[in-house]
Amino acid sequence: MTDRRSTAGGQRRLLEVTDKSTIATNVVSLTFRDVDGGRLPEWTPGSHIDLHLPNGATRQYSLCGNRWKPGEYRIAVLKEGHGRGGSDFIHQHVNVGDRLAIGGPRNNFAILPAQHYIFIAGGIGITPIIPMIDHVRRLGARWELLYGGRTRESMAFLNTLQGDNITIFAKNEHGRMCLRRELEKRSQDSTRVYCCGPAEMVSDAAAAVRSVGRARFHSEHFSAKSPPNRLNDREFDIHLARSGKTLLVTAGSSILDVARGAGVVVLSSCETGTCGTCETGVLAGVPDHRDSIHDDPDAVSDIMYICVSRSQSPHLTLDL
Amino acid sequence: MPICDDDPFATDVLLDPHAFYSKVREMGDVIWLSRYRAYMIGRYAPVRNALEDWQRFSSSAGVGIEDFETTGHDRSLTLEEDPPFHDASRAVFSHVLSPRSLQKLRDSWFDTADGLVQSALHIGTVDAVAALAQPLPVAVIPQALGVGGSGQECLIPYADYMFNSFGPENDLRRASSVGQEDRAAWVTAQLELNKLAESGIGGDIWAASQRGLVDPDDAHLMVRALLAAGMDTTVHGLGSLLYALASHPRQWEALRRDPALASVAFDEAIRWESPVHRFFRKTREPVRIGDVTIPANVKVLLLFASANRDARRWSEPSEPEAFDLARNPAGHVAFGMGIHQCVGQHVARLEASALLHAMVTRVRSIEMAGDVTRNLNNSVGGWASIPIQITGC
Ligand code: HEM
Ligand code: FES
Repeated sequence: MTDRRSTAGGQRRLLEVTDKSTIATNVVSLTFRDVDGGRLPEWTPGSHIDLHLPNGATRQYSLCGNRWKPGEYRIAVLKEGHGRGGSDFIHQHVNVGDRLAIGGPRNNFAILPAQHYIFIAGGIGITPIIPMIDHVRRLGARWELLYGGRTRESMAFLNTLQGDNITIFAKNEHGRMCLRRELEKRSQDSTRVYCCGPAEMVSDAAAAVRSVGRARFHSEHFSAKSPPNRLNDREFDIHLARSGKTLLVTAGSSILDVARGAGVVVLSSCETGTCGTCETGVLAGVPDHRDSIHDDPDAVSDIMYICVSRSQSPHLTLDL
Repeated sequence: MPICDDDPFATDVLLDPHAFYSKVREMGDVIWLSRYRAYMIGRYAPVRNALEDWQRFSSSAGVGIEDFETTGHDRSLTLEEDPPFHDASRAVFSHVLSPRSLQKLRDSWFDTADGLVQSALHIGTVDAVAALAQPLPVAVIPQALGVGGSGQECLIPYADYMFNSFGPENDLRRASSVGQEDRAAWVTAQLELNKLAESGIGGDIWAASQRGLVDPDDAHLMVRALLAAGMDTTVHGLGSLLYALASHPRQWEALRRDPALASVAFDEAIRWESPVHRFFRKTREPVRIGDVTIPANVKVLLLFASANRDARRWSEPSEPEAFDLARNPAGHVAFGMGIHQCVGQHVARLEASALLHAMVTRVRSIEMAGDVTRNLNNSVGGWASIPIQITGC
């Protein structure tokens, strides 16, 4: 049996593509596993990962796989067709066997308790909704899905979505769905509405929920800043204010390892950025938060988790 | 597959648990526990793997010996739930018990610990359990939860029974059930949510339920769970720490010379003598470990306290039986590991740092002044008394 600590420690996480398949017009699904075949960090429905692409782009994709398969992440990517950027690169150049760096998972779209849910998905916005449906089904809550798209062929996961509580609106067959009417029919006081899709649809849905007056509305909060590209980790200096040491953190080591190696006593536990034990005050510099503790790490910018997080600036001053 | 006919809940085992654990570790990765028709794991790597693998090692049939899916008894919130049921209450617990949220308690806990250490110094020869390890949690935990008033001492036997009830229906469990109804009634009375101080952790949980983050009925159970989970565990954890320091004079000296070692002292103490000895899981599918396959739908006893003494993992810089502040205790499973890893760990560490701070500031020497007596319990381990002699600076 191996010493599990050797797998952690600030390495960026490299995932290998194990499957790439077309699941709808212009939509591919990618499945990843850890290059060492281990468990991937835990996630909950609504979570996304950052994908750091070799062309320098970083893109966020909702996880749409199954939490009961701990060694696997799955995403679905719509080709946006501008010829450049993230999604086209993935469609054209990413293949089974490739290795990509990822960040996260983080969740800015967590599903909260309710007796009744209405999910509204537009196009590729179905991706976070898929694990949400699985989640509420297991909880035994009541739920309904309103899923709109251009044509049936363009709508991913249709074959897995069947039942009286699912309404499909293909624009070429039925025209657009009238969200207000649909919500009026379905909303109850205990309803939570989870909506993901094009920006215009999300704001229409929010307005419709407001005007119907029952139910609570949820959509994904995107963080203001896009994460740095982590395709290659860079080295940086740390200055430890209390012990007066300045140390170099190389690409292959973590702040925790380096501080400990220099004789500073620091406590850690999980070493995967989940338990919070290694929380350290940041006195100067800009951390690159890689923990899964805070869904919006910029909201708590004066602390960081040094078992996994690194630095965006060349120097970081820490309260150690 | 190795077979163990011993009873891990027998008094002689509980009196000398480490002798039993080292025998279990020598037998193999997975052992058949004939008496209870269950499996047992005592080595570090497979215990840790099982703790992380919630998909196959489920908590929702109960983390005690009883299989709730057969008996139909209710499981407890959070601790005995798998995702997706685990998610909502765990998220609220993580938030209200984060290091950041606990910061506001720091000064008053440091003062309380300082007062207790001063009183103990005044007497000189004391029982470290009665003078320090017990009064600190009794003073700070219920208050932090917002449970005021008097009578908090009854929480110790209250939780002692709860932890016994994860084990079989033995004498220990029966004896500790005496008076439990009255204690449970006291707890229920305190938990009338309008009695909870708004500023406390209980109030924070109540507020989270008002925001829809957890069901209001669950909020009540969550505060109750903290009263049970946060008392005896920390009493025994602080007991481990005091016993470790009193019985290892060179480590105490090292700590006095370099107070920065305090940050690892508590975790090393609960690696060395773990308050939570064992919990069960139930397999959801067959699991192969080495050359043994555990079938689906059986209970598996995970020996946390044994994993923390496995020489396959803990041989640096000294053998696992040594309490050694030069060791990096990261990765110990005294708090568990994975999605159920103790959500109160920052609370426990804050109590420990309050106590250590007071000790390092005020105490010159701490020595054993007699033999320790173990507190017997089906799931948690610790001491009923630790006679020590302390002198001031
Ligand atoms: C030294 C002190 C403590 C020790 C050794 C300890 C140990 C543990 C362990 C081993 C678990 C995991 C159980 C499992 O995997 O089945 C756990 C879970 C838990 N602990 Fe602690 N604990 C301590 C203090 C506390 C305190 C102070 C609190 C609350 C204020 C607390 C609240 C909890 C809760 C709510 C859980 C369930 C978490 C979940 O299932 O997600 N514990 N604890
Ligand atoms: S050690 Fe757990 S978050 Fe860093």
